[in-house]
Amino acid sequence: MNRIALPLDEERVRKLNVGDIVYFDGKIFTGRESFYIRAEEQGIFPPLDYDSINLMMHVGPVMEKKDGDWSPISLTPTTSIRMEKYAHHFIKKFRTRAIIGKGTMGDKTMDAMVETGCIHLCGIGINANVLAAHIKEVANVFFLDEIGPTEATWVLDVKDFGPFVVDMDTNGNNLFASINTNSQEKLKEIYQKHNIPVDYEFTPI
Amino acid sequence: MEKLFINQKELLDLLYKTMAKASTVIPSDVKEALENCLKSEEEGSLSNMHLKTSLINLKMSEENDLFACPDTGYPLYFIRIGDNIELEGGFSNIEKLSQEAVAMVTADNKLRKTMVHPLTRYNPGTNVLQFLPKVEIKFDSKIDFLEITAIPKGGGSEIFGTFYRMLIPIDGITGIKKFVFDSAFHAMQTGKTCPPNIIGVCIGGTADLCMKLAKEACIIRPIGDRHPDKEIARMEDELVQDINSIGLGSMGFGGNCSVLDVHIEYAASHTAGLPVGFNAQCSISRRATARLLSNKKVEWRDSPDWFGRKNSE
Repeated sequence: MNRIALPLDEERVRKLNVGDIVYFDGKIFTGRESFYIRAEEQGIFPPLDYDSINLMMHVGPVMEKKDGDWSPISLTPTTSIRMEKYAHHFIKKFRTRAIIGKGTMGDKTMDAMVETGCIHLCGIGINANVLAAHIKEVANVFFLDEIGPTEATWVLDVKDFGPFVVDMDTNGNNLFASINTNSQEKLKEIYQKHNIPVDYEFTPI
Repeated sequence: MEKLFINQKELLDLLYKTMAKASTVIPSDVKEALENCLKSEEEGSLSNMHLKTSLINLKMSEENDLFACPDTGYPLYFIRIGDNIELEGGFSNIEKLSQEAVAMVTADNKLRKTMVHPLTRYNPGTNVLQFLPKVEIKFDSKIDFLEITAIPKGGGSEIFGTFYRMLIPIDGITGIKKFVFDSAFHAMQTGKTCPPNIIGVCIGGTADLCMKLAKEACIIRPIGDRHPDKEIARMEDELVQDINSIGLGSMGFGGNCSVLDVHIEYAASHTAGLPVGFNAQCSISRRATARLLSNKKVEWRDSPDWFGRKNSE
C-alpha cells in the first residue's frame, strides 16, 4: 500500500508499478470529454498551475452548493478510454503525472506516459460515497456555467483518497494485458465447446 | 373489476419516490448476487477487493440515503396499467408527469445532471430533454393496479454494452453464440460495463424490438428469473456458466464471476433474418418498483412483473 502526497514528482511516479495500490493526499483536478474537446478544439484550458496540481481524475462528480460553498456528494471514476484520442497531447503539454479513471487507456496514452513519466490508475470498488467523504475541500471550480457541474473542472483537496490500483506504469506495462490474453485463450475454449470455429465468419450480406 | 381513479398528484408522487429510491437502494436480488459473487473470488484479489468495497459503499448508500452510484445515467420508467384504472385528465399526462418527477428528483440531487443535447451538448440540468425520461407503458387486462418501475441505467453499461447484429438463418445458433460471447468479451474487458454484469439478449423481432427486449431482459427481470420456455431457460443457465468461465471477473480484474445473470428474450423473426441484440446492465443494477393498489395503498415490491408472467398474484 502506498500513501502519496501530491503533487507527484517524476522520480516517484517512475517507481510505481502496475498492481501497486495507492491512496493520495493533496490537490487534484477533474475533467472528462468537455475538458479535452474544449482544450483540443478551442484551446481553452482551466487556468491552473499544472506543476503544483498534476493529478487529473476522469470523473463527473455530483456536487451540492450549501450556504455558498460547494461540497461533494458522490464521485466515482469514469471510463478513461473515451479520452484516448486527446489525452496524450495533454499529458505531454502539461506533464500531468497521474490520471485516475475507470478501466485503462490505449497505446497513444501509454507512449506519452512512458515518455514524460505519467501513470494511469483505476478505482477499486464502486466507491463513490467513501471517495466523497475523503474530499477535505472543494478548492475551486472552472467552467461551471459553460458546461455544467458534471463536466466542469473541479479542484479538490483530498485526504487518504483511494484505493486506486496502478494499471499503466512508466515502463509500458498494463495491468489488464495479461488478464485479457488469458481470457482470450479461455474464449477460444468456449468456442471449441460450442463448435464455433476460431475462424468463424458471419455470412457476408 | 373495481374502478381505480388516480389523481395526477398521486402518480407524480409515486414517479418521484420510485426514481429517488432506485438511485439509492439496490434491489435485494442484486445485493445477494453481488455477495455470492464475492464468495467466489479469492481473498486478496482485485476482484474480491472491488466487490467488498462496492458492498460497503452500497450499505452506506442505503443507510444514509446516498447514491448507489453517481452515474445515474438514463432515467427510464416502465409502467403497467390495469384496464380498471383512470388517470385524472387522461393517460396522455403520464409523459408530462414523468418529466416533472425526474426534474424534481434531479433538483433534489438524487439523480446526477447527466442527460445533454446530443449535438450541442447543452445540459439543462434537469435530465429532461427530447424523449427522456423514456416511458414504456403496458396496458394489462389481467391486473387491477398500476405498477411503476423506475430504472436509472448507468452510462458504462449502455455505452460499451450495446450490440446488435442482423444474422441470417444459415448463421444459426452457432452465429448467435459467437455474437454473444464476443459481445460479452468486448463489453466487459477492462471493466467498461462495470462487471459483474447482468446480460440481456434478444433473438428475433424488428431491430428496435430486438434491442428493446434485450435491454428489458437485463434491467428489469430479477436475478434468478428464468424464461418460461425451457430451451431458452437452459440457454440462460449455459451462458452464465460459459461467460463466467472467460474469466474477466469484476471490472475486468480477472476472476470467476463476470456476470450476475443472463436473461434471454425472443420475438418472432422474419423468415429470412436472425437478428440478435445484446445489452449489459452494470453491477450496480438499480430499479425500484411500487404498485398503486385498488384500495389506494402503495405496495413496494422487490421486483416487477414486467412481462406479466406471474399474473396470478
